[in-house]
Amino acid sequence: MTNEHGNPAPEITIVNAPYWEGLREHRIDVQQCCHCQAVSFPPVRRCAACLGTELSWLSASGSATLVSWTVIHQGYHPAFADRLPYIVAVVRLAEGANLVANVVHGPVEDLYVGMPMTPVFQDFADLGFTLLWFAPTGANS
Amino acid sequence: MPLLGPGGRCSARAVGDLIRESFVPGAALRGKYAIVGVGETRYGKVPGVSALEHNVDAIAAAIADCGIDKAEIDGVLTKAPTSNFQMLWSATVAQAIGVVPRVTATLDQAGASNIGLIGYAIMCMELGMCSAVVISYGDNPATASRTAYARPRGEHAPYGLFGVAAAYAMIARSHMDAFGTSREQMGTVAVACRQHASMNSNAHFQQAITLDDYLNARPVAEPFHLLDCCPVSDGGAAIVVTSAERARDLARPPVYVLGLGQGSPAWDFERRTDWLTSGAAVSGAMAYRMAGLGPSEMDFAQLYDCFSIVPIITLEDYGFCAKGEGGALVASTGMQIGSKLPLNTSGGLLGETGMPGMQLVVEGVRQLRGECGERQVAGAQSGIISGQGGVMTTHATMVLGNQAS
Repeated sequence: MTNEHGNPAPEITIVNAPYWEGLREHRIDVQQCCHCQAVSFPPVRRCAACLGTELSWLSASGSATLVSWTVIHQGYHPAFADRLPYIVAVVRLAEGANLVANVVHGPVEDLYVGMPMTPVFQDFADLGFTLLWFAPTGANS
Repeated sequence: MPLLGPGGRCSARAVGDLIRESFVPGAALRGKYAIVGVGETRYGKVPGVSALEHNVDAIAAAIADCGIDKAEIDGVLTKAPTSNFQMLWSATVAQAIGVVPRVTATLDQAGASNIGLIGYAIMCMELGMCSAVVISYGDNPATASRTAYARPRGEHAPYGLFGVAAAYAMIARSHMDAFGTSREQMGTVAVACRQHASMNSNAHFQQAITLDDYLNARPVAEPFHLLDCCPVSDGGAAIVVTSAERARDLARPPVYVLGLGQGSPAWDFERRTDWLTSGAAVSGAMAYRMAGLGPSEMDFAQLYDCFSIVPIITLEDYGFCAKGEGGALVASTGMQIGSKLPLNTSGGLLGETGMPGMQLVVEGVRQLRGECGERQVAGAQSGIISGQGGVMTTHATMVLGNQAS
């Protein structure tokens, strides 16, 4: 999957470590504020909606829709040189969080705004992390 | 302080606002300050000149342009170089031009900084802290380091999201999906900017392009292809701002700051719910209100064009057409000099230089002085300038005019 440059690693912190641990176990764990119920992603120390300090973790259903996408043809980083062109997208979880992800499987011509997407937990075992990608729901790998 | 020009030049919307509000913030400052000097360096690949030296060259040109005594300058304001941010940059620039000012400040609104700094200069002068301010930007990313332009932010790197082109491309796709905006319409923006750059001997790009050139250019981050994206350029530009009263005794006809506005959607683009409206809507309305003018009074638009979709969204947000009709607007008129609303008459970011925005201010001033030669918008009396930073993260608007009242 990766060339000798690997894949850029996520910046794991005390605050976001549970999210990245969850991905390694193929779960999408996101925070929910105990005070105002707002969902926070990426993980935070204080809820940005109400500045509350008590946040709990919930496991997202995995139900998601495609907000938008772009097909990258330019080699910005050597790790991606072998994967050109690749798709970067913004995907919206049903729980209300938007995130940046790669989209795989299924022809790019079939993508549309609002398309239902399914999580693809991409393990980079040798690098020690799992990334959250998405595929069109029903697409074959 | 009159808010209606001679003959009652004022849009219906501005009149309505005035009726509804007995107090228009900032209106007392309308036209009280002017841009009196402008200067720039060569644009493009300019080897052997540092970012600091570009600032000094541009400032020297702006001072010579208006004939002000350097000793009179008591404010030095800058945006720090995108390719190499440093603390206290304005102090460094002040030293390099041999000025000990009262006020130095560096503002980080990315591409909106220039207009933000003009506002800051006016506020400092209004507070009596200084009286003549030089504002500059210069950088050498094309010959030194362009890595700042491809830097990933936070959690984006693992997914290969580097720089801003991909984010703007996703915004463009949303606009295309929602409104049917087409590549041909986005291409009209690129063609107009490159045409105007070809009429500007100092522009980074000297060759005009056709719509076919635009459509056939190599893909970068689809729907963006090469000619949707501004270049990375070396160079700098500077302006001198002072009171309209002081301006009377300087070399060039003053160009008055009639309106200013700010608007910052601020959040990371993926966390915003509305990608189709930018900070131009808020900052434009503010600037129009202060100026007492509306879109129909604008003789030109110098709009931040880091990517082709941005002027389309900005035109909508500035009230030149309804939301979603920006593509149809640019396609119907071509936006070139000679049309009803010429866009980026010296080439903009797409054609003149990839520098973040001061070139738009300089051109706006020159147009209103009537010194643009074959690029002159005939009879120009007022125009609108936009500045934008990040991924439509920050936004500032300025309305300029050459009529004192």
